[in-house]
Amino acid sequence: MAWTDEELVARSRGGDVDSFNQLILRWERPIFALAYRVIGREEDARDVCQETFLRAFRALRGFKGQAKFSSWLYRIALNLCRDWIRRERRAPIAQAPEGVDLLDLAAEREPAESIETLVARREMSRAVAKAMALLPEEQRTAIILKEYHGLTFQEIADLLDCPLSTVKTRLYQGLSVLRRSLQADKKTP
Amino acid sequence: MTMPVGCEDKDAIVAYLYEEVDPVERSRIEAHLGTCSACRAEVNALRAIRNELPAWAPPERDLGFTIVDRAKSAAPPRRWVMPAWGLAAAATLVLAAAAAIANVEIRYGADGLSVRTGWSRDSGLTAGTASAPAPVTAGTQAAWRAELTSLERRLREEFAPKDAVTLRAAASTAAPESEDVLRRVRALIGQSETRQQRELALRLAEVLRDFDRQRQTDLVRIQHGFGQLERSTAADREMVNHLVRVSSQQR
Repeated sequence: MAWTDEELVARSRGGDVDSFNQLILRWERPIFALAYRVIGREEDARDVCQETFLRAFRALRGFKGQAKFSSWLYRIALNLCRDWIRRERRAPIAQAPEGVDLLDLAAEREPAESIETLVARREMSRAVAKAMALLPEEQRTAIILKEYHGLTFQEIADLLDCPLSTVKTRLYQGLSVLRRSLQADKKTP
Repeated sequence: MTMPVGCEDKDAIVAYLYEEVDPVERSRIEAHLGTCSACRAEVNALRAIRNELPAWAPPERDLGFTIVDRAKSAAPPRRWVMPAWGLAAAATLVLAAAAAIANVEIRYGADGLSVRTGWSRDSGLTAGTASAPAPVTAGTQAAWRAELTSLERRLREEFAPKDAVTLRAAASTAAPESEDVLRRVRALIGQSETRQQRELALRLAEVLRDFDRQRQTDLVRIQHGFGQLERSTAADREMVNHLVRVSSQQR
C-alpha cells in the first residue's frame, strides 16, 4: 500500500530520508513542469526543482501540515521562479520542448496517429509556448496552475495570495490574450 | 430571487468554463448563454483555446533527485568533477611547467616564428631566425610552483563538503543501490530508446516536408523568372520591330 503524502511527511520529519525521497519521486515531475512553464528554460527549471526539494527538506520541521504538502511545494517553487525572473530581469522564453514528450503523449493516446499529425501537434506546442511567453507573469501563472495542474480557484488564490475574483479575472484575461495570439499565429503563413 | 448574468460578468463565464459553479449559478449562466450569441461564441472560443493548451508539454527528462544523508552513509560515493576554471588553470600550469622544464621559447617577430627548446638550442632547430633565448631562471620555476599550490588550495575548497545533506541528481550517482533503482534505470533506458526512434521519424518527416516546401517555393520562383524573361523578350522584340519600321520609313 502506498503511503499518503501526510504519512511520508510525518516519517520524514522523524528523520526517515527514504520517505522524503519517495515524496520527491512523487512530486518532482509536477514541480519541474511548473518551473519549466513559468520560466521557460529547461536547465533553470531543473535547478529550481532541485532547490525546491532541498529547501523543503531543510524546512520540513517548520511544516505543520496547515496546507497540503503539494501546495507547500508549489509555493516554494513559485517563489523560486519569481526570484529567478527578478534576478534575470527577463520574460520567459518560448522554449518549446523537442517534441519527445509530446510524442510519448500522442503515442499513449492515439497510437495510430500519423507522423503528419504529430508534426502538426508539435507546431501547436510551439505556438502555445510562444503565446504563453507573451502573457504577463500573473496571468501566465494562473493559467499554468489551472490548466496544467488542475488546481481550484481557491487553491490558486491561496497560493498567489490574492482574492478569488482576481484569479478568475487573470484567467479570463489570460485566455483572451491567448485566443488572439493563437489566432494571429494561425493566420501567419 | 437570483440576478440574471450579464455580458460583463466575466467571472461567471470563467467559472462556467472551468465547471466550478453550483447548479443555481450554472442555470443562470446557461439561461444567459441561451439568449446572448456573443457570450455563447466567446465561451466556445475560450473552450477551443483550452483544448489547444495541452499540446504544450514540458520535456521528458530524467530528474531522479535524491536526498543523500552523507552523515549516515558508510562510504558515500564521491564523484570528483573538476570545475572548468580548474581544468583551464591546470592545463596552463602543465604547459608552463613543461615549458620551464624543456626551456621552450616561442617568439614571433619581424623575422618570423621561432620555437626553441633547451635541448634544441644548440642544434638551431628554428622556423625563422631569432636571437638566443634567455635562460629559465629559478624565479620562474618558483612562480609556477606557487601557482600550483594556489590551484591545489582552490580545488580543495571547491570539493570540501558544504553541508552534511545534499541533493544529487540520479545521473551523478555512482551505482544503483537497489533492485528498484535498477528496474527504474532499465525502464528509463527503454523509454529513451523508444523516444529516440520516434524523434528520428519525426525529424525525417519534418525534413521531407521542409524539402517539399522549398521545392514549391523554388518552382514558383522559376515560373516567375520565366514570366519576367518572356515579358522582357517580348518588349525587346517589339523595340526591334519598331526600330526596323522607323529605319525603313526614313529610307
